[in-house]
Amino acid sequence: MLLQRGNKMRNISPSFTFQLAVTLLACAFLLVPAVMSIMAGFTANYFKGISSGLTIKWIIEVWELYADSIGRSIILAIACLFFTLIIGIPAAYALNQMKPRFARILEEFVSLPLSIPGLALALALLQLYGTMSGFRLSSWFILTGHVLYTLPFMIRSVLAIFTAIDLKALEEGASSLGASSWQRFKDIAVPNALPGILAGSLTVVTLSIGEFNLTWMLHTPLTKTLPVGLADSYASMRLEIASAYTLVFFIMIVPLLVALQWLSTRTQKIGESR
Amino acid sequence: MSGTQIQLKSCSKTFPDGTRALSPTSINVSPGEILALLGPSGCGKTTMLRIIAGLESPDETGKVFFDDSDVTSIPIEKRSVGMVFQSYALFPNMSVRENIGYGLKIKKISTEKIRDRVDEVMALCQLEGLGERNIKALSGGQRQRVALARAVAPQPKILLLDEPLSALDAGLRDQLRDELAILLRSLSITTVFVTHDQAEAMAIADRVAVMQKGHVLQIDDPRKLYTAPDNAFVARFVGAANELSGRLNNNLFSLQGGSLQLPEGISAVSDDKIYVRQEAIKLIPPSESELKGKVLSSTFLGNSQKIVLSDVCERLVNVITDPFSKYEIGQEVGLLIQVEDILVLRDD
Ligand SMILES: Nc1ncnc2c1ncn2[C@@H]1O[C@H](COP(=O)(O)OP(=O)(O)O)[C@@H](O)[C@H]1O
Ligand SMILES: [Mg+2]
Repeated sequence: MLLQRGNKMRNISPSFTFQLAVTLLACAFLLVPAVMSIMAGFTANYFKGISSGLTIKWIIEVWELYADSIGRSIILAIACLFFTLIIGIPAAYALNQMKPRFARILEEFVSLPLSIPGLALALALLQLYGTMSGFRLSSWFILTGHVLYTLPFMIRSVLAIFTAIDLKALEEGASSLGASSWQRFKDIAVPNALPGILAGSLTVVTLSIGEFNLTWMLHTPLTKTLPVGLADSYASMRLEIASAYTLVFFIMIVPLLVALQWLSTRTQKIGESR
Repeated sequence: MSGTQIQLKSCSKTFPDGTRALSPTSINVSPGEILALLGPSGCGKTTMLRIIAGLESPDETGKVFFDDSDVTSIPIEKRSVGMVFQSYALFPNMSVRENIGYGLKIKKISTEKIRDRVDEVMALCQLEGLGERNIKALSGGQRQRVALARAVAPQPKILLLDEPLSALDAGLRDQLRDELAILLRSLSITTVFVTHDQAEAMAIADRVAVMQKGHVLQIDDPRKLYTAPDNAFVARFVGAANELSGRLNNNLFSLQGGSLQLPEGISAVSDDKIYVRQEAIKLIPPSESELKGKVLSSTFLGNSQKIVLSDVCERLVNVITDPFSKYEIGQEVGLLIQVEDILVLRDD
């Protein structure tokens, strides 16, 4: 047994070695700049290098300069989530009840913002509401853009789980027991769709926090968000601050992405186990 | 018997894509009766059941009555029907107990009363001790029982079951069939259940409606259906009758393997075909019979054996006989058929 094992170990094929090398190289290509950038955020003086000493003063400075942008982004993301939930879940529920052909047309329609570039969407919003200055100057304006942009993701995610759990059959079961459509929605549809709703929520929050194109067009100097602030710091601050900012951005967005990945594999399993 | 009467009045169903799933059908189900809808897959059984339930509406002319009230336009949630779905449609977000109690909760019955009723129904369906289980942690047979318990818990007027046993393995199915028959009878609710298995229909139902291609061909009690089928399809589908084709000449029916004397009066054999049940054919020495065949195979079935004969007519003939007589393959045998066992039927 042991001998066989040893043999196998030694039998690593050249093509495997090659694949491994390429994979590692690609990882390095992606990770090295990120690591460099993060390191820069901790370095006292980037041009002198690490020898100048490590510090967290840049991070503190970022916090002082951009705390309100970061806070705004978080509030925007939560508000955006709130609206996509209260619009998206009932919308997906309604779509799921419609005749398949009709539902498909409507789904295409709500998915339109996906295929329109953020810039075009922003331009349309500006043309429509640009003159309503109270609205235009508030964070509500950006929120509108974010909701428009993220809503399709929520609807799709919830619709997918409705199909995966065969909601129609479950609802027929509930209606045979006397449940009205509101009771079916709250007792059956929503609880059984939770994994999909959670996945949709994470997508919405991640997109809202990271969204740049649309937000950049819609923002005012007083309504900057996290990524807009990032661009701003790149353009006008010293490199160490920009790097520290990148680090803050990473810390906020990476856990969301990881959770999202984990959830989406779990949701897929629910679909398969049916 | 107490209970609700179901009446369908010329209910047909044409789906939007043009599929005619059900031709105009009128049936009555008496209070407390158990009716089986029996037929091959795709013949419209589920469609008929869903029309009774209120999950589909019949084409314009159709009407559905529960007792004297017209429920045609009343949605399922107000019809007070209990339904067991083919897929069971149990709620994955609820425990066994919550599933069974859901209909009672909807009716706004007090928590204690719900608990008592759920306990009662769980005992009835042999689900004791499973109350807190998750639906995913149940076996197929247990799921079937939960589905039934959930349907009967709110004491519906009418119970509808769509192939309740088809999702189970063969062994379990036989056991559950007998249990279900006893349980349904003890409930004395007007019941309609769908099946494609004639043994299941016979075991459970008071009357069986045999369906084909959206038509109800015959509704009768199982014995009548077996001994006096209205037409060839029913005879073949219920109890697998042999079809013998030949030529009729003055009461003498001539076939490939000889001839049969038919009684006076059945001169009008349609298409020159007669039907005989498998167990109505006796095998005798060839010298004693005018009708002969050749043994093609014999299969021992424990309490009986099945002999397949060739050379009697164009089709093979199946005979069920005692298990211990020995028949060699290729052996010539004589067939003895009593006149009263011959079925003369319209061919549909
Ligand atoms: N929603 C539907 N749309 C179109 N055709 C349907 C629909 N439901 C059933 N059918 C068709 O109607 C016929 C009868 O179906 P069904 O009542 O389910 O048969 P059974 O239950 O006897 O197997 C089948 O041909 C089926 O394909
Ligand atoms: Mg069916």
